[in-house]
Amino acid sequence: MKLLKALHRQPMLIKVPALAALLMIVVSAVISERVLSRLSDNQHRHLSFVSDTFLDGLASALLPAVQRADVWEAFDAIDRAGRVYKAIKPETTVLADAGGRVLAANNPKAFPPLSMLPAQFTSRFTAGELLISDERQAAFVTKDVVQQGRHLGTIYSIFDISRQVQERKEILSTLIWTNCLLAALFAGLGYWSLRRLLEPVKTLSDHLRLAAEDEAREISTTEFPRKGSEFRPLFHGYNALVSAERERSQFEKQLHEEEKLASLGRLTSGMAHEINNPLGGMFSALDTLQRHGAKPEVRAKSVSLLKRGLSGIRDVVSSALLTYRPPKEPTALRPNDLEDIRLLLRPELRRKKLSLQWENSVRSEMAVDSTPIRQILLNILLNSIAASEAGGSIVCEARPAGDALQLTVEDDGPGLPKRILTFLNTDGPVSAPITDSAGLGLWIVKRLAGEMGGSVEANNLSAKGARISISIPLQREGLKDVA
Amino acid sequence: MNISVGNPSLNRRKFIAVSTAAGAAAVSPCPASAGSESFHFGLTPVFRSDDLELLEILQSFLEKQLQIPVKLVARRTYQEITSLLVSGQIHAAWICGYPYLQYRNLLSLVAIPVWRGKPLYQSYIIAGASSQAKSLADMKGKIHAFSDPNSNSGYLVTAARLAEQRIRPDTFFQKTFFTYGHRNVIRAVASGLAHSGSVDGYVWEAVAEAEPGLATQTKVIAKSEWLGFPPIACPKAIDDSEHIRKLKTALTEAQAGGPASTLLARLRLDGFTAPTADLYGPIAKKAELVRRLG
Repeated sequence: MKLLKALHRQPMLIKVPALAALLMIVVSAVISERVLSRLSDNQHRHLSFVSDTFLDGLASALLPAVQRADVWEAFDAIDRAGRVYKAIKPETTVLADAGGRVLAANNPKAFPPLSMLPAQFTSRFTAGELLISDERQAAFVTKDVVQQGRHLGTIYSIFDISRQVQERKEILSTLIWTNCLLAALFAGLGYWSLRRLLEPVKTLSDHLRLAAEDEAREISTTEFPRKGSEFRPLFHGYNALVSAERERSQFEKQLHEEEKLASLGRLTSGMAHEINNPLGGMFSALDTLQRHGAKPEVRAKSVSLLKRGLSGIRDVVSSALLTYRPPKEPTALRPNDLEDIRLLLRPELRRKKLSLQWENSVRSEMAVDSTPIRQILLNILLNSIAASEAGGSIVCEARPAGDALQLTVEDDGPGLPKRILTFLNTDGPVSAPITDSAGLGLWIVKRLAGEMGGSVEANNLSAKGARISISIPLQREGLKDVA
Repeated sequence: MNISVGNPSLNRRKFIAVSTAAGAAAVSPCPASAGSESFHFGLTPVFRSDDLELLEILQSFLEKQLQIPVKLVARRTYQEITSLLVSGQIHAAWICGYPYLQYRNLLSLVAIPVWRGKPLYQSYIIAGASSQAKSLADMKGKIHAFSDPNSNSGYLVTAARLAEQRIRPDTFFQKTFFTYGHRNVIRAVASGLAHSGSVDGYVWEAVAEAEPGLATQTKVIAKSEWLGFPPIACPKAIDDSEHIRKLKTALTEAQAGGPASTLLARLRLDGFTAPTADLYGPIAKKAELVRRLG
């Protein structure tokens, strides 16, 4: 199992040629087996034929000797036959009479005349069949000497087939070597040619892998397959995709910047009011100071009013600055950062006569980047304000929840369109609904949340309105403290 | 013959008459039916007729000495050669002492080979090299190989030995068979086909020199007394013919260093000698012994 898994994990560039090589080997093994089998058959048939011829000749020569039970003539004929035949080597030849008694043999010391042939000897033979014993490297044949239908005697012959066995071994060895060589050669060829064929695929898949890791690069023309390859259009297509993606990315950044400016624009009038509001009181305080400044209690009251007014202006200005000229490094979120947002939105709320139920449970510094958090909250609230009718109410809640910051905004407007709900709730790439300013703001929210590893959940409330909930996980690395 | 030119018809008649007479003389039956055509010399298994080179040497020697073509006639059995000799179908043959004795009324001795200084040889009883046998008695109940039923050394001597104890070979031994060749007896015993054999001592010794590999597979158990060497014989009717006289001369004068040296060396003989009176007497006695046993 483990081995299979390990094999499966091999890159395609190894797997495919390896399979081809394996196929070659299997084919050549099958062919070798067939050849050997055929050779074996041929050898058997040849041996059978030659031994039959030998026995036929011998039987004919021995017939008179058998008829007369002439020991010497039988021996002489057997002895001569053994020397004459070159095709085969009869190691043992025995002539027995009809009763199984030896008449003569080529080695009478082993088979003396008049002795009975033991059953263990005769049982090794089968009439009409060539039997081969591989361990002894010998072939066993027998033939009856017959005249006028009468069985007069039997010839038993054992041939030494070591030469045939040797031949078979040599052929097997040659076959194996040749096949190994050919298989290696074909495997090599297959491997090389398949590699060449698959190289464009490898290039493409490498680039795609990089793209998945957000490092998409166009494929340089030096890595292109040659003209006419079916992969060439694919490469062109890929490069087109990458450049389109890059364009889009740049476009997005641009849009982000523009949206910032747009939301800045939306807030400008509110901000002007915020700054303007205390100005009237501050000028009248200055007047009072001018006229009655000698009186200490008048001085004290006017100064504190001026201080209050200027602080208010400073807060508005600094929040705007923080939003629109963010510090270069990520800074930890402090409770006041969220309060600033509330401050910025007060004019808009007042204008549309909306009430804001504000619940900020963030008591201490939190390890999340404050700038994008403020942007997110700002955008969602702006969106809710824009969607709400006059007299409506908005609920905004910010609380630490375990190892994340939870932001929730609810309004009682008409609810979010389905498209936007889908966009906000779906993880992964989805076409941005950048058709109007509301869609753009929420798109930026989703982007920023995604960048921080957070999640967005949006749904329309059963009665009226919409609810957007953001959860941002705390950062591991330390964030810079705000100065 | 000169034919004088005269009356043509008379001369022609004369010519025909003369030539007919000459032709008749040429065709008239002699005891040996081949007049001047070729000389037929018979060989028995005494002779190493499987040695073809030896046959060529013999043939060329005879042809040179007799000045006529020589045909060597080999047969499987002594009986056949003896029959050919007796019936005059061959002019001479190298036979054995025993067949000579059987037909001594119809055959004449031409010459006797001399081997190791004497015209004598022995019959050997042999057994396998690894055999434990020490004498003929140890061969009882076993398989024995003879060479030829008409052979002295290859049958008669052993049969006579047993006849002395009033035993026949086919009851003494488990089985006997004839190999029709002295070298074959050695082959039979060497291969184990027979436990023992009766063989011509001269042939055994010759094989021991020429084919030691074969002879050393056997060992000599017993040797007979010295008996008359197998002779060259011819039909009595032609024993005075020109060719027989030439043959006799050629053989008895053959010696090492002469034209017969290759032949003698090959045959391992010293030469040939004229026959003596009672050379085959002892063999005759053995034959009688066996005959009386029945």
